[in-house]
Amino acid sequence: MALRRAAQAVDAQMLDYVRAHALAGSFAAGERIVVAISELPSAQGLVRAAKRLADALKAPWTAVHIETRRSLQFTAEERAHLADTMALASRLGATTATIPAPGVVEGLRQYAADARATQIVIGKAARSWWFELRHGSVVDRLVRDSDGFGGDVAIHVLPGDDGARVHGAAAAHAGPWGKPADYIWSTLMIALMTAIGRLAVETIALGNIALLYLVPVMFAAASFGLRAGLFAGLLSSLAYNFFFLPPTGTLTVANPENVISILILLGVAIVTSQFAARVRAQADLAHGSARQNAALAGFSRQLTAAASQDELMHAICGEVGRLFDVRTVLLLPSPDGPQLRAAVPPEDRLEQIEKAAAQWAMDNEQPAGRGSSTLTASDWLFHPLRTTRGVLGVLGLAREDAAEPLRSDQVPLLMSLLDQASIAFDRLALEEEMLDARQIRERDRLRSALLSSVSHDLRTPLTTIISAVHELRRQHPSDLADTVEAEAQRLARFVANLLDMVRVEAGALALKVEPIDLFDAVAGAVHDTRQPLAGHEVRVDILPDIPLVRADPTLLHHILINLLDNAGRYADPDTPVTIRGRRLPDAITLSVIDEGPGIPAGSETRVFDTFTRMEGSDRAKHGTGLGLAIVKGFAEAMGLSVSAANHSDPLGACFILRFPQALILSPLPDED
Amino acid sequence: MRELGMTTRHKVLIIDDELQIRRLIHAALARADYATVEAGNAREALAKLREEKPDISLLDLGLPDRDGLELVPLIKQHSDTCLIVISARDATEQKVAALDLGADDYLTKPFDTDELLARVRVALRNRMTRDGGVSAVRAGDVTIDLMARIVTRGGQEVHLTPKEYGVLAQLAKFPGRVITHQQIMAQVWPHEHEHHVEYLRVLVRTLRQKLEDDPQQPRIIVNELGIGYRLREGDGGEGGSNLHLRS
Repeated sequence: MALRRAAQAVDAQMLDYVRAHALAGSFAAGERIVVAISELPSAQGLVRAAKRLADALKAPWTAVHIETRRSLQFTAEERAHLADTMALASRLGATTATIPAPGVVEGLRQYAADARATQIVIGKAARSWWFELRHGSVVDRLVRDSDGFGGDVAIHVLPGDDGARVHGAAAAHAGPWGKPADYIWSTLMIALMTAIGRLAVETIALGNIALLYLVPVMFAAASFGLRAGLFAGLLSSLAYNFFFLPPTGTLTVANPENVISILILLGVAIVTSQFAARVRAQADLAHGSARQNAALAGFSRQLTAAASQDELMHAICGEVGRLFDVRTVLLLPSPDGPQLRAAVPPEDRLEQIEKAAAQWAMDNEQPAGRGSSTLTASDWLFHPLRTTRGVLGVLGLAREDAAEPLRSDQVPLLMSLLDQASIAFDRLALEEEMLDARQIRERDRLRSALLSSVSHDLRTPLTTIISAVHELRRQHPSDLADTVEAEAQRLARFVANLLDMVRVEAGALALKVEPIDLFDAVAGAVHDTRQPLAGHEVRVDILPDIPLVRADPTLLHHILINLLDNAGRYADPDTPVTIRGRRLPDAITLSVIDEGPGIPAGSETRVFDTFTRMEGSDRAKHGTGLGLAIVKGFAEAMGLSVSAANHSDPLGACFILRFPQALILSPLPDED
Repeated sequence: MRELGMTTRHKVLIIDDELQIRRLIHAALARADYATVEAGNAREALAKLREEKPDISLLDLGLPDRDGLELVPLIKQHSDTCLIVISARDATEQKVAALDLGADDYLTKPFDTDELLARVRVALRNRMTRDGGVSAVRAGDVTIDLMARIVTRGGQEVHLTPKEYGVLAQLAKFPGRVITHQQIMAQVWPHEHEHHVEYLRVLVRTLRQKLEDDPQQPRIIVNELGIGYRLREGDGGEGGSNLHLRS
């Protein structure tokens, strides 16, 4: 499986390589399925079968229609079938392609080689024996020629469909009758040649006169098609017979050799028109494809230029309207139903029925409205715009004369345009997301910078005030000075907490981890929380031989200060605060235990959220609500975990700091 | 060594760019009868150092014209002043760097003016005795006799391993002053290139168990967060230092 996936990744790069270097030959690695579809309705079954095969093989698949000269003669119904089948394949996850080629087998072989297909799915025609006799069976030829695919291509023939009918002998399939002018021109030329022949009949051999008639025959066949060519051939042979072959003036042929001349004239007409018609058909197909490609290229160029969603939507409407000569609207979903976002030419409002059709198209991701199979009473035809995030909106098309907006053969082009439009929308959305992310990052950075600068600016005068008040108290002891000092200290603690929180949120904690003796850490924290813990006895209950731990001394200090400060704030007066250190099999825990109301039930994890303060107590609690959030942030930065719980006897809160095994130093061997 | 007379007031150079801090320090020092000189930037500080020859310099590491850390070796080279650096709470590494560059002690903002005065006193005393003048130090009921290499607690001799004594002696040579981990370990483990703080921590723990009344809340060997240790001399109370000078 992994190998296959790797092979698929390699394939994607290789396809580019093959294209770029025009390599011939097979680089087949992963499975790749190509299903050939025809204009017959049964082709949909073939598509579904191919989808199942693709799912089973987890392979990418392509639905391809080989466009031959015969494709030009499809009826509207056949075109619609083909478009439906293509759309179905697209919905089922296939890539779709329409390949112009002189014949189905050639086209399919060429495409399979290009795409390095490993499996080809094709239907067995449900066509008359007469059709097959005239055109030959694609399946038979494909299977017979399978060596031409490079040998390792599996061909699946499914009943019920034919990949597409082939017309090997195009001569048998006459083109349209052509315009009357074609026949007049042919007749005039033949008359001219007859006149020239009459003038020259004295000087040149009779056989060479016949050659003169080749000129109008070939011209007519090449320019006006098979029927005009045949007409010219027939007329030429009649004229030759009548005016030149003895007995002249009659349509009887005295010399049997001259019959050959007449047959040759007819044969030339047939063969020439055959070749000319083939070349012309190819040119027509190529021209059609080129037009489509040009339209697509122009379309995507327009869309790429759009810098905003509004611009993009206008560009889509404008381009689609221009290409199909229709009125277009673009609607996006909104809570109040589809909302008109762009229209060319400008459109104010849509009727209720149109809105319903648009809504249906959005909901079902299927075309709706005029010319579709649903809600045909609408003047508009709505096609959904599918992006990777689901249906983005619908594009509506309508004709001024309220006729069907699209010919069925235009549907594939529209589908391609919609695909392009979807890609453009995705691109814009991605760009916007990137911009948003950048803006959010920038805003966060600014906010942090602001907060940190404000905190710094606050801190400098605060430190001076604290020291100054302390000195003042020394020199002139007073209650007021005590108050100022205590409040200044509290303010300083808030500012410090704010700074710490900024650092946690910015993820900018530069850790400086070193081995720490928990006794040192606790003693330092207890020393620094003398004031908030005044009135509480601090009991240190740590196992004497508790191992050293690895932590950042400053961060650990702040954690302990905040936990002790918290205990001092919530514990009942004159109760002891206990710091307990224990060795567990896989961890060391350091707990700060107070005796007081404890933590409200259910908020054991919420207490660590930013700006959460314990409720349910009528006592005013001084705090920013940041302390415990900082504890959590710092602890997690160092790889510790912290939790809160209540204990019952005596009642109170218990905050547990847990050092995992990885942060515990094994006892050192005695050195001395 | 300069003679200490009642008539000679010690001179302290205050190097800080903030007028309010200078004013505050000046007030505290004046209360304890020190003479002060002030400098607002590095250039001024170096000039005052030459002109005034202060006994003690208080250096704020955040100066406008020059990195305070650069100034530390300069000051130590050009004068024999005692240097106490002042820096913000979180700048642990900066403090260690300053101490390793030759600063005698440090003070964290916001500071307690009493603490400032205590540091200044310690620094002055260490300045007088820095040529190995201290012969014995008392901390609580522990006496460390650096000459005889004997440590007693409550009159009873305490048995210490050589390394334990080495660590304690390092601290006792400059009582009250912070000694960085590196400084201690360079003396006690002179042959090891890489110093592991965990060895020092374990040693200090056993030392405390032998010397402290309550090893869980040490009062003699005090930890300085992320920096080093300090021997708190005397009985723990203010001005209770008990120092024997070698005569």
